[in-house]
Parts: sequence; structure tokens; C-alpha cells
Amino acid sequence: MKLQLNIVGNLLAGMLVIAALTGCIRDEQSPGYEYMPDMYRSPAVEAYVDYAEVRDTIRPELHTVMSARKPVVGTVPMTDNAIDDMPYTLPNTTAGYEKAGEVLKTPFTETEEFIAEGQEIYNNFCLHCHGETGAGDGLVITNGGHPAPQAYDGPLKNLPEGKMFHTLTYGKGAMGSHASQLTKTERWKVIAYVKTLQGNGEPVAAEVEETEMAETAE
Amino acid sequence: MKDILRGPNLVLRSLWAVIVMVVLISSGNLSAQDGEALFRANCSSCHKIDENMTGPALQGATSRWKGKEELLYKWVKDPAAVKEMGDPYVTKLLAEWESKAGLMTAQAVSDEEIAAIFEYVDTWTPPVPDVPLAAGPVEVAEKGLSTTWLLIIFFILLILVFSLLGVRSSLSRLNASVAEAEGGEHVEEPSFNERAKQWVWENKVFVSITSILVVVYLAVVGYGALMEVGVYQGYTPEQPIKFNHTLHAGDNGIACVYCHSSALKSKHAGIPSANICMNCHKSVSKGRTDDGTAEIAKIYAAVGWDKENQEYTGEEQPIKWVKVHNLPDHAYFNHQQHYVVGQIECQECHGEVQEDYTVAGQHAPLTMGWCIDCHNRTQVAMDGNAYYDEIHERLVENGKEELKKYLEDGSITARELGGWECSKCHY
Repeated sequence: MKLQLNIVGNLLAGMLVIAALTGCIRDEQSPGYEYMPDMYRSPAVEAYVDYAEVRDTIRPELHTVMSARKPVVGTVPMTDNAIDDMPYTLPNTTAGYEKAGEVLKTPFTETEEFIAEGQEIYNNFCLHCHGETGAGDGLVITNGGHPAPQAYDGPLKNLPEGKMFHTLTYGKGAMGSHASQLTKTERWKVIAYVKTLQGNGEPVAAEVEETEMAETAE
Repeated sequence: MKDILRGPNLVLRSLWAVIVMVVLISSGNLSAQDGEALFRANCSSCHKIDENMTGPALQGATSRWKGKEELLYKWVKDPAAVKEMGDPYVTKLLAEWESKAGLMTAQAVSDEEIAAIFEYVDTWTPPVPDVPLAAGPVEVAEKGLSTTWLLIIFFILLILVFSLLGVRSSLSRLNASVAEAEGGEHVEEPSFNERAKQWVWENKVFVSITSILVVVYLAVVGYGALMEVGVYQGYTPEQPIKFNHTLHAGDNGIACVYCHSSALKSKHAGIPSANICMNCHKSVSKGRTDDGTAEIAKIYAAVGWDKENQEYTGEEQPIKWVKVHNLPDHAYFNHQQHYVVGQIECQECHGEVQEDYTVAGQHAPLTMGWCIDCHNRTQVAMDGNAYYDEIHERLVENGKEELKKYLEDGSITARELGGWECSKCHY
């Protein structure tokens, strides 16, 4: 009888040990323990949350459902910049590309500051393929094995700014659309800088227009 | 007369031969060396040699256009004009490609240069792959023993203990019965507890030192475990695609904000959407290793890209990335504010991602102490930073007294500008 009791006691102790051992082993896919889970699970939906575990509403059917949503078709952005808000109407076709080259012109005055901002964008978004001088020799090309884009100061020397904008918006050939990364204003900024890389002489900022802009801004 | 003429004639003839040879050699040179350069400068942004890309593979184009070489040359120089001519082969080609890639751009090349390009392309053979790069997929080492193995070992030990105990008790029973049979006095076997107590009493010093050590150890481990609750430093979950930050941000020099562009505009740095992957991987379908190629194929599966026909099928499957950095609900953090205004490098908080990490891991503890500590020591990047012009003006306006207060130690830290106010991050 005593022996049996011992066995029960040993079994209980063993189970405790197992619980302790397994309790300490961490699941690599889980971040870890939360001290106050309700502080980690907002009732208001935040970006990149798991919709299944929004606080107070546990809905398993939404587990691992895509959380990033696309805006409704036809959504118009509302910023304080009309140029960014206006839709781009030329179609993504060869005809649209040619038309952009003919009619589309930058709505901005290309001041030195504007071009400098463009260069900053160029360094972040273009440099790794098009290279420092725009020759198409960025690291993605030379090291990453991506086919080389044509040189700005070469086959693309006379590429009009409208075609550049069209290409940035829709993509062309091997280049993808950068519309999701750059606003229209940013696209025009970087185009202003790319034009200096075409080697057709620095575009001169019209001083008169500049002062006009400053006046209207005030 | 004849003799006189023969002299200069010979000279002329040999001169002619030399000219012909020079021309032949130089034209040969144009084909061999410049073909590659010409291809790179004019064609390679849309055409690959052996695979379809934006345009069809160029190898074999001359045989596909057999009998229409003149038309092919004209096509390269002015596709729009050739399209007008309505040749059946051209019409068929355009039906297949124009909707995807548009009409080819006219190229400013001469007939000789076109010939050189086609010669280069047709004689091209795929390079023999180098010795596999050392930077292959990192084999994930088995970290310790898995739970199942621990359990199995534990049960084996448990069975062993029980069987030994059984052997021991039957032996002692045997002993007792033997002693009884021999007519000896029946000695009461001391119970396990009594024996244990006796043993402890006999080894007082050893037992007390061991128990102190055990208690201290448990206290330390317990304290550490409690302090880790809610702190996820080092959290590196397995991701659906083994994206290589070292290769992309390090070797290929892609800026962090090219993919994480929302760090420039919003609170979140953002998990890049797959269209950003496709900006490059539309054309780069081969990885450095077979595993790399398999990972790239996962992007294609996600966005529904048909590599053979170079078009989207429309069958999309979102990539189930695992979120790594989790802030508690009532703490506010803004990437734009820190990266654009504060000019803090990504690496300050995320570590040398371009050198160390493969996919993503939490480098910083992200505790409040860690935030506060950084706000206390970080000098505000005010030089030429328009975001601080207003503050600077106000400081100067207040009779420079306030400015002096800040500048006592020669620096203005984030804390001095309110970086320790509760409501900066909690509201």
C-alpha cells in the first residue's frame, strides 16, 4: 500500500517536472509572454495586426487573413497638395507614352533646392540601378545581375520629362511602377535631377517665376 | 612598257590586298568585341539572350526572321514603320508581345552594329557557373534538444528508476524472508522518509550549502524570466520567404527606404508590398544558389507572375509575413519622426541589418528604459534641419536665457526638448 502511494507521489512529481521543462521551452514563432495582453491588443485596429485577435473580438475565421487592404477603387487621396491628388489620366499604352512625351510638362519651377531634393530621392530610389551618373551601372546591375538600363547621357539623352513621368508612374520594360513609393511631387523632383544627368546643360531656374511662387505661397 | 606598268601595278595590288585585309580584320573586331558592348548599351534593358524578358530572347532571332534579314534590320531601326508594312510574321509577333511590352523603341544603330550584335548574340554560350559561392543558404543548426526528445529521455529514465526501485524492494523483501526463514529476528526496515532524514542529518553542511545555492539560482532565473515578460529582444521568427537583407541592402546597395518607403511618410516602416520585389525580380529570376531561385519563385507565386510568358495571371496569394516588432498598445512610435526629422539611422535601432541579419529579428529591447535612455543622450540634429527652425527662433527670442540653460553642457538633447514628457509617447 505504501509502495503504491510512493508511485503516485513519484508520478505527480514527474508530471510537475515535465510541465516545468516544457513550460520553459520557447516557441520560435511566438514573441514570448505578454505582461498585460490587453495593452498589446488594441480595440482600435492598427496596421499589421492579426484581425483574429483584436481585443474583445476574437474571430478565428480571420486568423492569417491579409491585413493590408487596398483602397476602394476610385479613392481620391486628400492631401494639402493638389498635384498629388490629381489623377494621372494618360493610359498605360504605347500611345499614352508617346502622348506623355509631347504634352506632359513639369508643373514645378526647377530651383536648385528642388533639384537637390530630387537628388536625395534619386539616391534612395534610383541609384542602386541607374548608378551615380545615370550610366546604368548601379550595384544591382553590376553585382546583382539585373539587366542594365540605358544611360541617361546616352540612348536616353533626349528622353522628354513627360515620358519619364509616365515611366515612373506605370513602369516600362524591365522597370516597374514606382507610383506606390513616390508621390507625384516626388516624381517631378527626381525627374528634375535626372534631367541634369542627361548632360544637356543644367536647367536654369527662372528667377522671375521663383519670386512669383514665393509671393503666392505667402 | 609592260615592265614599267607591272611595277606600280604590283604595288597597287599589294596595297589593295592590305586594305582589304585591314578592313576585314577591323570588321571582324567590330563583331567580336563591340557586339557585346552594343548589346549591353542598346538591347539588354529589354532583351535577354537566351530567355524572354520584356521582349523576346534575341538568340535565334536571325533564324526566326530567315529570308527577311533586311526587314529585321529595318525593324531594329524603326519598328513603327515595319509595323505599318503589315508583314505576317511581324503581325504575329506583335499580337504576342505588344499588349505586354508595347512597341519596341527605335534604336539608333547602324546596319554594321546590328550585324555585330546578332553575331555576338548567336555565338553566345551560357557561362559555366563558378564554384558555388560560400554564401549559400545557412543551415539552421538544431537548437538544443526538442521537446519531444526531452520527453522521451525523461520517460526512459523514469522507467529505469521504477524498475530499479522494484528490483531493490524485491531484493529487500527476499532478504527479510530469508532472515525470517533462518529464524532470525524480524528487523523493521526503516521507511524511505526516515532514511532520508537520517541522511540529511548526517550531511548537514553539504545539504545546507546545496539548498542555499539552489534557492539563489532559482531566484536569479526567476527574476530573469519575469524581466523578460513583454521584452522580445532577439525575436527572430521564421518567415515565409527567406529574404536576404545582407545581399539586398549590403552587397547590392539598395537603400533601406527603397523598400520600406513608408518610413519616410508614416508611423510604420512598412513591410514592402510584393510589387516592390517585382520592380527588380521581374528581370532577376535566378538566385545565386538554387535555394535563392526557389525563394524568388515564391514571390512569383504570390503575385501570380508567369515567368515563361512574362505576364501576370491574376492568381494572387498574399505572403504571410510574421510581424516581428510589437509595441504595447499605449506606446506611440513614429518612424517618420525619427528617420526624417530626427535623422536617426535605421541601424541605430535595427542593428547592422545589411551585415548581420537574413530576414528580420528584433535587435533592440524596445523597453521604455531603452527609449528613455536614447532620448537622454541623443543630441538633436539641428544643423540645417528646417524642422527645428521654429524652436530655435523661440529660444533666441526668450532673451537667450533659455538657450543658455540648454547649452550649459554644450548640447541640446531630445530630453531637453521634451523627449521625457509622458504625453510624448503615451496618450
